[in-house]
Amino acid sequence: MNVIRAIQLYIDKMISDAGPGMKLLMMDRETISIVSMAFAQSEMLQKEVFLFERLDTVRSNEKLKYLKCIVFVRPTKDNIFLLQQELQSPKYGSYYIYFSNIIPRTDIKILAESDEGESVQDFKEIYADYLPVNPNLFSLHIPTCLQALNWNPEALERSTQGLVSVLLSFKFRPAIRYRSGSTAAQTLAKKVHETINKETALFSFRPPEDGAAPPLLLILDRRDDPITPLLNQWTYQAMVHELLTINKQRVDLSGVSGVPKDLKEVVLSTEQDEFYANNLYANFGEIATTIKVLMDEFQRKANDQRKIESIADMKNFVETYPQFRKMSGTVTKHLVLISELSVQVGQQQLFEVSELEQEIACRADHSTQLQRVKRLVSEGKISAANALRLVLLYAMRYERHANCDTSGLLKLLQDRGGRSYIAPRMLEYISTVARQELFNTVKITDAVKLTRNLIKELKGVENVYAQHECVLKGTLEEVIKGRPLDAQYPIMGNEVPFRRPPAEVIVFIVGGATYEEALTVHRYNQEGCRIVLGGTTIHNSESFIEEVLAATVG
Amino acid sequence: MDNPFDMHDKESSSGAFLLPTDGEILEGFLCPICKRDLRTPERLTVHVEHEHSEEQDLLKSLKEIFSIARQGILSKGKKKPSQTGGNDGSEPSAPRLGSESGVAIGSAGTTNNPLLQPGCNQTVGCSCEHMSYFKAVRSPRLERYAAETNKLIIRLDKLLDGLPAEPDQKKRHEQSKVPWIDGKLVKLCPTCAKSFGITRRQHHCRVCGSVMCDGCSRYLTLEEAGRLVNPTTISPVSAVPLPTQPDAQPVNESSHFRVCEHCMRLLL
Repeated sequence: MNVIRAIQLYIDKMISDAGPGMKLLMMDRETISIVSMAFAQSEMLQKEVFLFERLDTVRSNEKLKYLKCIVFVRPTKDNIFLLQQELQSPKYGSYYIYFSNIIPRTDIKILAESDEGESVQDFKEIYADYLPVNPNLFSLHIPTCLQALNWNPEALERSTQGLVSVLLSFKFRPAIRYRSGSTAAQTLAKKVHETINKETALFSFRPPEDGAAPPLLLILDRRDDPITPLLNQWTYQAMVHELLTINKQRVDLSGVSGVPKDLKEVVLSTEQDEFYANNLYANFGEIATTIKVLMDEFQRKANDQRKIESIADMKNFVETYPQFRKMSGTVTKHLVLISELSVQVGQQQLFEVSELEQEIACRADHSTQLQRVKRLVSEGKISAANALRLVLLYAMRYERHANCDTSGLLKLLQDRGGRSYIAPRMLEYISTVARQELFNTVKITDAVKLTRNLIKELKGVENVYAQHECVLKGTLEEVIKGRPLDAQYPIMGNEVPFRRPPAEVIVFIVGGATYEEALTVHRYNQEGCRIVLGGTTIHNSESFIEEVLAATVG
Repeated sequence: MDNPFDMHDKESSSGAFLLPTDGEILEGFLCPICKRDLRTPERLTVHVEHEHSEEQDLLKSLKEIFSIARQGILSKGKKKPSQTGGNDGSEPSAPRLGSESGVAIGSAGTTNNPLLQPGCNQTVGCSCEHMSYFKAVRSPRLERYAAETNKLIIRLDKLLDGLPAEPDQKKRHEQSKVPWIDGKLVKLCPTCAKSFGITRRQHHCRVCGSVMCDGCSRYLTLEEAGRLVNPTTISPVSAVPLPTQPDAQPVNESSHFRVCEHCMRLLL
């Protein structure tokens, strides 16, 4: 279950169906990101796609009748209009039209009527309507999806379409469960359910072999776990995203000093970069060792290149030179990234900050934590963003505590120039469920949970920076072990819930997923489960704070 | 690309073929079963007899069955979903952060890293084709245009056939081929809706026979007409038909057909 592979297969099929000959790919703003995350440009060139154009930008009026045009766009009103105009005066020899989601019949009729030159050779829907970030992680790139704690209608529409396309690309007809108590999750679940019921022809897959449970679509809410996006991360991908922001597989390094010109913007892709794929989830310490190994190998290769004595050697050198260049590019890129990460860790004293964050997130030790937070916030050496994070975490955990001193901390923060108005908004944002479960404000009567907490306290912790476990982990645990979910995760529709655990799970977090949760999913996948995680976007702490602000407006 | 120097007649050798996964081009006398290059046909036959004989195949398939059964039995105890044969996850698993209890770890030897595994079990997702509906909407419209245009071309053909040079005879000839609508019935020009009178006289389209005034008439030269009727003839003039403007060009009745705007649009 690999989302990148699903998109690649779709695009491969789309291009090969158009037949041999020079091809041009016409896309819109969103599908261009989808395609660029699945394939590199060189791979597209190999498939004879030589030009890439956008439907909405003004193009030259030259007619290139010898080109086949493959149109891959989302089915929006603007795109239909632009396509209509294009077909009325076609610039290319033949058109193969693919929409990335379900298109209503009326729009097909409009396009058919405007195709007077009979240039359209094929017209299909392929369901590649989401951004594949990692093989087990997809995103819909909706930066803020809630407004006044309710869905933004466009975001809801986009999320439904994105989810439906994920289901269709894996050919799933799932049982839908949503988090009880969360209206956003419920609305989304209802809409997806309605769409599945409406398009019965599309969703008529062979049901799984008897006995096996149908796949599960689990819709969760970011509001149930506001801690995870706020923590500092220590695994490679998560850390780069937190400190440098990965935007659709690109990292912008222009603000970093000492960077060679051609590395101003780097591409981090698991498909093209083997080192990255192997070290996505490696923690900071391990990265250092692996990059050293890579450097050693690179040095060895470089030395080999120097010994050119015979014609055979020369031949080898010329043949292996492109690979050598590619490797040197990769090594430089990762070296720059890692050095920048360690510089930032040093500057912002992330070790100390992160340790305190993890403490607040996992344990309840009010007085010492309050003192430490006070000290760090007023110290001034740590950045305003980190100070804000600490205050937010403290405020969330000790909201109901007797000696809660959030106001004092907020004043300290304001003196530093931090944005203290975020704290009350954050408290508004987190759901009641989060308050109960995460911060133990309600007495735990469930014996299982009590014993589990006790064991955790007694055992101690191996790695201070990685002690936090996201809420998703507990949820997935229950799903996989087949425990009854009906209480917390009611099922949508009136299907009889299966007793056995599902074979495939798609988790969708309304409000955004994080790389730490992707790591959890990855661990479970390594055990043999098949889980895919998705979210309206992929958060780091800044984007999460923006989302909270937008969601609590009004 | 096919290498023309490869032998195509040997049944057990294959020419160059492109492996879609690694992009390598293999050439030469290749064993079709194990893809090894064996340089000469004699060696190839010896290799096939030796390595891929019937008994060897049987042995190998038996071994495969045993290994698959063993994997299946081992995996049943861990509720792993069954994966079809060939899952040699010999890649090292990604390094782990600390150790966390709670999830039963226990793998029989190799841990499959799903990130690095090729998507061998994954097939293309759903797609829905709409071309039939599209064509169903498109063809009636096109046919309407195409049928009318064809009719006009047939008439043009008839008009061109035996066209006399002299204006009067030409007019009579045109009238005989295409029925002209009776002028008394038409009071207003259909294109510009102005009434006919002394200054504005009625004219007839030569192709469809409808009435129009002089301002709305378009002219089709004999050359263009000939080209429309017979598109395969290569004329020394440029291929693009000249735009006809009623005021700009000097209109010579003898070398032009008067046609209405509607027919002009259909023909050109």
